[in-house]
Amino acid sequence: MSMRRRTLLKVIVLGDSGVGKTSLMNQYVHMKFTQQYKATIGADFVTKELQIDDRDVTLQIWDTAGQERFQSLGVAFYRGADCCVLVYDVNVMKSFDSLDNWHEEFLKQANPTDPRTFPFILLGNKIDVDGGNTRVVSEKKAKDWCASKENIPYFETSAKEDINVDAAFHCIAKTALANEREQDMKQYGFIKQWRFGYDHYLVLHFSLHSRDL
Amino acid sequence: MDRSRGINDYEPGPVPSESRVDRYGFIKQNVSNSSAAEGLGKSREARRVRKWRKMIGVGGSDWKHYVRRKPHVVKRRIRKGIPDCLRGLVWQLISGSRDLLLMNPGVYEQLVIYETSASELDIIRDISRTFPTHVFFQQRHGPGQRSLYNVLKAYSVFDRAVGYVQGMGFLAGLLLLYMSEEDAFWLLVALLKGAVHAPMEGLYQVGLPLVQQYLFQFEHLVREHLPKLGEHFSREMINPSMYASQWFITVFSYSFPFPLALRIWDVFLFEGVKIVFKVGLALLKYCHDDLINLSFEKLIHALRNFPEDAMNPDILLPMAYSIKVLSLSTQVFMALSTLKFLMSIHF
Repeated sequence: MSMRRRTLLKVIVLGDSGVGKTSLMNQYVHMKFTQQYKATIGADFVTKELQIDDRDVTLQIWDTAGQERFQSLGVAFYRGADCCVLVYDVNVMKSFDSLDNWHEEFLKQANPTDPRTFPFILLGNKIDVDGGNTRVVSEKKAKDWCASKENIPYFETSAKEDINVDAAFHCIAKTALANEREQDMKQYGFIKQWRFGYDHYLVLHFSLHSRDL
Repeated sequence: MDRSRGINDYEPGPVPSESRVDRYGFIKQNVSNSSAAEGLGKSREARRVRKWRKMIGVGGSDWKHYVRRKPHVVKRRIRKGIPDCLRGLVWQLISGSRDLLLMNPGVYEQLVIYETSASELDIIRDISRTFPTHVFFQQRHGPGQRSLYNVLKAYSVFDRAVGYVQGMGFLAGLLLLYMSEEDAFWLLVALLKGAVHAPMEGLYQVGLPLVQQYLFQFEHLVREHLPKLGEHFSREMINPSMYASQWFITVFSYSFPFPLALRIWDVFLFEGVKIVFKVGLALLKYCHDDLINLSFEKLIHALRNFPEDAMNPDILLPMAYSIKVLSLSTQVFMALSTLKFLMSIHF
């Protein structure tokens, strides 16, 4: 007998206002880019279904407003996250400098069981702008930051030109899945932890195959 | 045809020549755009305009008198919708922003030209992300974007404690479609600092305490008015901060159809924030039977994308008016007395 279930992975996207969080998400999920995005107010939400190592996975991606003042509204989304994606704009130093704050704030609000091993991913976005001439944060600088934070995986992306977006989100999904598995093993053995907002995902699909018996 | 009628008669400001924009200046997303606001017959609309003109007097001179004498008539007429050609003026009269403007000559100019704001970069970043599908705001550095920048910058200087907060752009943008920069600025001040009454005072303060409070109250109202749905929401772990925060932060101007947003604003300016709760509840009530069958993800999606018929102002608003919501102070009072009562039993 084989047991198949759709695993739900909850991903939170954080970063300063205007770094391209909504654009990255939409490029990944809807494969399009537009100049006509509104500034995100409150939070937005998309899902994408994919397969990783033969597992059916649903990515539930929460896009948040970048302005600091909205952080207080984020608490409800942070809890139960499987992965946190930090985004900065390679052309704006301040958005890179804010990363420490976003990192810290997330851990504080989400309060994961083991903050040291909780999976983050860093995306340096807008590498297409002006052929890279306006870039102020070097790849090395970004990688050094990642190294200082338990080796966070790093991707340089362009939501506009669709560079590295798929690869980055694939990594996000994989990392989230690995984290989720680890959590399962540690805490509950074979029983999936019941998390915030998706108990309906725990419907198990049983299928009988003679070769499995 | 239908369209030319709408534009020729009472379109404020420059008339867009192309049919690719709707009556309000938004670029049409789809062809079928027979919005409900345009459903009123021509002669009926003209009659309404005459009534309104009589009520407010020349340049608004009779307004205060009329409101004092017949508040119920005013309330009823506002609930039916302010005629579009008078909307800008009436909004200024209702909110008291006219008086602010007259009491502060030259202040706006001073704020725009001579002061600098710590929020300038934040504002610039959002300018092209405010109503990007509206012709007035679409052109980079065009008159619309410039006005929007000036109003937001002026406000961030005027109220340094609050500064600029995302969401304000949608309020200012909406106002700028109906009045001059300076008028829009003072209306924003009237809203956020309080002139006659301040429906949004404190909304944008650090930590957004008022938004938090409204969301909390809304959750309770859902449970009270739509108990089954409320139960379903808590089973699915749906919380108003996942769908309703922009309702309160921008008073439905962020993503709702413009004809509906305008009608809500008419009432909002006269009656205050209660209408936001009522419209929110009416939306949920209208879609109740669909929502109750959806699971988390579909539910979130549905709560952010209501069907077109649900957002028809002539259906939704009467429903909203019929919902009785206790005034917020009464709610707080009751919560406090319940608490006191419970404490008196236990201690």
